[in-house]
Amino acid sequence: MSQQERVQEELEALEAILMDDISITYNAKGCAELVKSVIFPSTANEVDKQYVCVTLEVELPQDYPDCKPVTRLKSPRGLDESTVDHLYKEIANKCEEYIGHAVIYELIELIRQNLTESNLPTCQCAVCLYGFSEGDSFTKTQCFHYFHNYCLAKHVTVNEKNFLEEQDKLPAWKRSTVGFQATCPVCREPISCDGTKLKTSLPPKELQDAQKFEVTQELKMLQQKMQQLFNYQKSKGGIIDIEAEENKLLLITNSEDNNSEDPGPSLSSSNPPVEQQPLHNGLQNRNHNQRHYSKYSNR
Amino acid sequence: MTSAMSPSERRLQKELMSLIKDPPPGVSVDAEQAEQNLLQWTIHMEGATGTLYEGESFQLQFKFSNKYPFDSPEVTFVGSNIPVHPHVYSNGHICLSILTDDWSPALSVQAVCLSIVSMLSSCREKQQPPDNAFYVKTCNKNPKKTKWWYHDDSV
Ligand SMILES: [Zn+2]
Ligand SMILES: [Zn+2]
Repeated sequence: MSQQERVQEELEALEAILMDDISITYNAKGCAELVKSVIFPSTANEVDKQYVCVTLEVELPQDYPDCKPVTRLKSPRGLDESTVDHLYKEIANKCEEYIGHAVIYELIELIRQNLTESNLPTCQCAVCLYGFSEGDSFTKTQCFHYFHNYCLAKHVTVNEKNFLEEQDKLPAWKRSTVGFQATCPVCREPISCDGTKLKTSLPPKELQDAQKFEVTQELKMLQQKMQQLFNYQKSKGGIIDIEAEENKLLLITNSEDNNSEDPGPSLSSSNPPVEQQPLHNGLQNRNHNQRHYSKYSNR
Repeated sequence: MTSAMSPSERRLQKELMSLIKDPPPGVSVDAEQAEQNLLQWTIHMEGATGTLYEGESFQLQFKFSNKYPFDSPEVTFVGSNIPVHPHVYSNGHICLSILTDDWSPALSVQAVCLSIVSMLSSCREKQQPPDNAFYVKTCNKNPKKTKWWYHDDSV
């Protein structure tokens, strides 16, 4: 069988197995150049349980399969960098092992297997700040934020209790007619959730296993170093200007606020909260309205 | 002998670690004190350069209940220097909505510190709240017991 026939045979087999899940690009001479496939974990086709995915691109050099193909992983979703790096290493090994043989299906299976094993968001739960482990039950909200069910249940319970208490204090005509609406802890979008199912969830594994840490000498040194760095920058006049930093991060949605008198947008409630993927915890407060009060009563 | 940590303490421990490793500019936590009692922290804050509070330093006290982070922390200025600011009473109480009604468990000590730094930095005139004397005389010791009413700054 000629080399080109072997490639053709491999691609036909791929199309027969994967059908619409694969796309093949041919060059002007009719030779296959590029094979693309979006790979999901195997979750018995329960699409709503697929939390991660990645696109595999395989470029076929003229001599393939007698030489290694060029592989790329594109658009990883729900995967952190180290997971992608790890995948690249395994792909390289597999290609090495399969020189002279059809390898594309092997690669797809290898990646699928990896995704199935790590079919967990690799971010943290914004409520307890711990990660997601196998066996943890968790929720992906409609706004694409992830929480342990255990943590979300507590949040919703407290919110509902507060809501009802506030309602109780109001005169009848002022009470809400729509009832309690649960909201996302991160972006405050309304979320729908099955309260009873959430409440029976067990605490997340990482939270339960958390060890007490000690502020070690090393940490103290680090803290001192940070302080020195701060003082040094300040003495050089190069200290980060909080307000300027904020302006960089805050998307201005209301141009009226932006007159020349104003040194920068305040975090006032006239700007609707802007949805952002939290880069780190400290940035989240920019998603929240910040309000000041000047009148009060004793609770 | 360490007793088992509560979920609140487990979360606070994580926050403490990240505040030590990656503090907002001018903010530092008394790590040893917080380690002794995770439910009460003292935080040092420097007035930001180029603001009315440049050169001043302040102390904030954070008290956490065992319902944290579902329950907001109790945050007050303490010590000899309380910032003179339209939203800070001379007893250290701060009127900032994220500390009461707008609190969310996705917020953190770090987020609160950033909000307070930003509240101070945006001040144009050092002034006590107009009702300072009355409030300080009549308020509860715990600022969370005060029901603050929303007030639009621009009016
Ligand atoms: Zn959680
Ligand atoms: Zn959300």
